[in-house]
Amino acid sequence: MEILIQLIANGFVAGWIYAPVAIGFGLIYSTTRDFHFAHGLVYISAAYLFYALYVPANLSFLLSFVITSVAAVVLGLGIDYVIYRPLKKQGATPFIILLSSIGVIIFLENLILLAFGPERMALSKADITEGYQFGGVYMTKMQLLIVAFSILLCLAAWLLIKYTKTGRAIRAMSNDPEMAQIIGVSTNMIRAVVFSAGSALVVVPAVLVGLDTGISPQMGMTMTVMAAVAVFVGGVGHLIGAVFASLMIGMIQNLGVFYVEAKWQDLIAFGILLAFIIFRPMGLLGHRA
Amino acid sequence: MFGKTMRLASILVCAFFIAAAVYDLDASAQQVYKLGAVLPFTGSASFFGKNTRQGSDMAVGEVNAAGGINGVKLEVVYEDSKTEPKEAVTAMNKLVSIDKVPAVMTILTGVSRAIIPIGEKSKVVVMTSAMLPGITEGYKYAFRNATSYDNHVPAMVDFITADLKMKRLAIMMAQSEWADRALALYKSLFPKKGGEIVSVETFQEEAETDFRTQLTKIKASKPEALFVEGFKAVPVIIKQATEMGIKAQVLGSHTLESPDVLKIAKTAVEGAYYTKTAFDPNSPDKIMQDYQKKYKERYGETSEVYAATHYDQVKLLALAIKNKGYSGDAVREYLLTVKDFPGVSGVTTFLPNGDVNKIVDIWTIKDGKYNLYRLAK
Repeated sequence: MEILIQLIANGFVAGWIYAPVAIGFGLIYSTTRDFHFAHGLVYISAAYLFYALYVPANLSFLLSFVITSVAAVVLGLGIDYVIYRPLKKQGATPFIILLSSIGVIIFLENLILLAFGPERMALSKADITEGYQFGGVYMTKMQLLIVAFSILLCLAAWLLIKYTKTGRAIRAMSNDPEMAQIIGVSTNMIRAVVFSAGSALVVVPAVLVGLDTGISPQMGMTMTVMAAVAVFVGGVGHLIGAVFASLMIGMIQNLGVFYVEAKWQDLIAFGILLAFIIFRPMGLLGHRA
Repeated sequence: MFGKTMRLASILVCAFFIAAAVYDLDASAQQVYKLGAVLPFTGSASFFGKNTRQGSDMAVGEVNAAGGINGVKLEVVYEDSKTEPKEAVTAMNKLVSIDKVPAVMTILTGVSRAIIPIGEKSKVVVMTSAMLPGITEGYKYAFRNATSYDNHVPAMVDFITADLKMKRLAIMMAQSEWADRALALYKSLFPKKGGEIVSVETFQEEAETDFRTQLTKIKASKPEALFVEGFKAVPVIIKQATEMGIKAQVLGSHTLESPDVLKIAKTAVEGAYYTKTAFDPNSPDKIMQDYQKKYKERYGETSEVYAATHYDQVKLLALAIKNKGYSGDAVREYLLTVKDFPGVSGVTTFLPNGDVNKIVDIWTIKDGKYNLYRLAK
């Protein structure tokens, strides 16, 4: 029994790692309908940039974090301005946008590979101590921080979307982009907002995961896929759904590994997606069109 | 028109044959003797790539400083296997067809298994230091000059039951062929000594960073000892095991000597025991002392066993070329006659199946340092 609770706890943490990244991806996709596959690239770039600043350059945690956040936003916006917008002006279809996004992530991830080497690296400078115990279930300080910060981030995102004017504009755009433009929503500005916010959201998970388990060049692609799956399972445009879906996927993956080998974790995530596509294509919180 | 075209064609054909003959003539006057090496310079086993190269470079330097092989210089052509059998195959094909080497040195089970058949087909000797038992069985051109799990596992089993007097063992290994074989050995030997394997978990070396799910299952099985084997993931696993409150005795193999292990696992790996090919850098033996002195002068560090193994391999292969000839068959013939070669990595005799029998010591990590705990029994 204890082992099941531990697995659920691990899954809970995993879910909260996916959640902010999924929200970022969801924001971008629901407002622009652009499949920003390179979202995972912002995630992995943030992780590696933080590593480079915090470890070899030995800057303070705060300074490294701030620089990384700014860089992430610049990168996200940059990809939009340099790749997506020009393509869209020329009338590119969503498929073309997806392809270009994949191209970006492959190209830049390989640059990272070239610069840092293919092996995993550790970020944490702290000593190794036993985690905190909650009735037989162990969680490290880092794991608890991941959950705490992710909850804060998701809460902040939700509040901003629900109660601010910009948030309303975002909701309008995700509901109906054409109508939103007609009633005066500046789609270009909202694009910039969601790309910035979405990219900023990945920094905290990237840094915390790096400190907890280390970074490796494969983290980018995997994270994009998880975020995309969470958004679709949760229901496009329903950010709370993306959070629920993230938690669900995280927990099912970890529980699933109890019965099958760890290499099937990605398969489990896709299995969930497939099940939803077949039985509930609008996602957890979506409505039938 | 028949005449003109035919004349042109026959001139071209003649030119072709002349060129081929000249080229062949050139090749038979050997300018340099080449050996191949397919080593992991990148990838999770890059620790081994660096060290083996240092060992073989030093040996090549010594051979050439002593006048080369019958006056001809020796050169090793290095190719990066990237810890990937697929890449290794490309590298091997290049060494065989383009560099036309008579022998290739390598390490790692997956890589060795991929290139040994190529060597067999092309009559090129492959000398490996991989740990998979039986890796040379059935292949005329495959040789191994290192310990295998056939040596490590019995030594560890004996250590756990007789020295530590522990009965409950959990095993966490990277998914691979050698893991299957090592596991099979554990399963057959450990119960015989009165022990019980309480859980077995595997992981994907390259893809995973979070091993807590497997560790959760291991923790639930209440082991007294935990054996971890892989490459770069090992210190991360040990770190996470400690964070999860697993109190079992940590055990491993010489992968615990990789430089980042102490950096990543820090105090978590304190007190761990591991098996290591009998190789004492501090041995008063003259051969070892001379070797370590030269190695330290050249590289500024102490040589571990795999650098020494490849140092020996180059020396052995150079002797083979010198005494028998520059071809796979000649090298092979010579190697089978090698008996009690005073290698730095241990006295070496090749068995008829190309394998060797070397012994394994038990080492430990104390106060952040690697110490010999007990010599092989």
